[in-house]
Amino acid sequence: MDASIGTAQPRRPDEAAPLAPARRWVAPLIVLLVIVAVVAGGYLVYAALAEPAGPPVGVDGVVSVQPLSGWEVAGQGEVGGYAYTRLSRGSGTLDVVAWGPATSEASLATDYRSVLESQLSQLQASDELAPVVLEDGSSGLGFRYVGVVADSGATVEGVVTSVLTPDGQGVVFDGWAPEGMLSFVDGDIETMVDRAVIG
Amino acid sequence: MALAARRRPFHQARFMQPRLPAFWLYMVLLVATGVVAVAEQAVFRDASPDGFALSWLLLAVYALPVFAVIYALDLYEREPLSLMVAAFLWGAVVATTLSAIANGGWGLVVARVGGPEFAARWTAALTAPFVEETMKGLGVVMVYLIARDEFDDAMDGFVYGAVCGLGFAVVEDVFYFAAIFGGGVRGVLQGFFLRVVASGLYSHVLYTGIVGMAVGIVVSRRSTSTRGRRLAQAAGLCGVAAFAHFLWNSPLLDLFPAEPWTGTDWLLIPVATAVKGLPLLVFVAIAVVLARRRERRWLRLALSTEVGGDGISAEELRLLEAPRMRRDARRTMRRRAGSRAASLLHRLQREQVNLAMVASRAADPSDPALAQQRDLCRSLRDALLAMPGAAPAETTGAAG
Repeated sequence: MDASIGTAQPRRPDEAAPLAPARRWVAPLIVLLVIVAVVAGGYLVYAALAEPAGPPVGVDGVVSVQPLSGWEVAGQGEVGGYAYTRLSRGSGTLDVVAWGPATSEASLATDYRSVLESQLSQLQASDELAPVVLEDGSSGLGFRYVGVVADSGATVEGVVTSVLTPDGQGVVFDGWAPEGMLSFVDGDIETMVDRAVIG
Repeated sequence: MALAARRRPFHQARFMQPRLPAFWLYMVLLVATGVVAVAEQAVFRDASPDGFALSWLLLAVYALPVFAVIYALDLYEREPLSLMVAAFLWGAVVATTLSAIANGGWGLVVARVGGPEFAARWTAALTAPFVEETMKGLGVVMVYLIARDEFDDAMDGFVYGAVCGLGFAVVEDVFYFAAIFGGGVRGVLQGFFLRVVASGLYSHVLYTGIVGMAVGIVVSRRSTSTRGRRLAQAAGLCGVAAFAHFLWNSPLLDLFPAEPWTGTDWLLIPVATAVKGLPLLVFVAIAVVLARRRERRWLRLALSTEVGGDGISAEELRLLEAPRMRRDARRTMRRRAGSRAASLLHRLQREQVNLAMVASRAADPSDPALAQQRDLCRSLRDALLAMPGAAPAETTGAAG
């Protein structure tokens, strides 16, 4: 009400009744709860849906990964002396490589980047290695990359995590997908890497 | 003398209301999300200073007139600018920041359930309408909780919702110009054409305007409609907004030419956006026309017992009901008696709208507040008629 009028204004017939001071908290609290539910709800529902499917997949006795539902083992074997397992879902892929002895996570990441350079043209990788901590406490380093597959000419983007076992064995997780698709699988990839059992 | 005192228009609440918990919740959320939003803008600025400056310049050219049009939509009672700015900032800062986080989470759910190929096509359609309309709509709710008295009808909700949507659209456009269109000058111009020239009429301003209208219906009309009916109407409007947003983000009715766009492709883009957006624009236009008619009926009804009294004459009511005639009367007054007289006439008209507000609240005609408002109108009219040239003999009513 305007102070200059000086007379208390009657309430509009369709106006809500004034709230008692204690009740003024109710509506803002409900607003806050709705915000929390919408903002956090997706992550909570995702966590509930990210259930393991099938038995864990081990690679050379060095690392074990639990595929989430929808992910399947698409290949296992050895390339250049390194044992690997490939999991895939649609156009998303997670390569888990048992690298063998390595001196540090940083050198492992650098060595794997060399492998990517040999497989992809126009490789662009993030300069900084981001620290990563897995659920079992293992620490590692990660970087992202974009490159063009030499054979098909298709552009792919990926995220690499390098980890060392307690006895110095290197493990590399390389999750990748065609350009524009990584954001639709990186939640699963991050979850599977996070839950991997190292050593 | 009452005339000499400068006073805010009647029935205009302020945004700054420290005694209200809703005000503090608003401020905490604005500051917390503002830190994130400013950091994001700094990244865009550092990546391409020229493109960043051009983005904001172009968006200001778009947003300022749109803001003015929204502000003018409410025929009889302009909303307080402080609340309009609060709604804009909620959309621009709070809703964009929280929606970005929430969209990420719900996007994970879509990808988890549907797989990457499904998610690539449908995530934007399945997450953004639900997340973003909720976040923006809560902005209208917050403005209501801070200034409950300002929500008289659906139109008030539409105004606050549309401004909130405008704020959201502006910041989202800056993000798109930088992150999707490259951020350089050429990319910004392409983004501006696609998202503002070709699409600017259809998007967040309309969605949130409709959601705001729903809020306005729920919190007003208590004396003429049951709670169930109001909730049903509001749910229907929110459903329309969410569906329109869903359709816009979905691959359905997608007539966009294949990329990369060259030559005549650019001419087809406005056609493609119109197919998805024009039906909603027509819906909103009809809803706004209906809401304005309702306001006009309300004004006539509220002043029906006052016509011929001290507060308003029949001729003054005739002018008051038609915004164009009101403006014409002021223009004529300015020519005849100068700008001070026109300004006084403007104030008289505003106080007569306020008289309608008081009359609609007063339980009986002898209510002191009503008598005081009548006196104010009469004193304004007397002062106006005392100005040289303001009262030609044949148009006293129009002048007053």
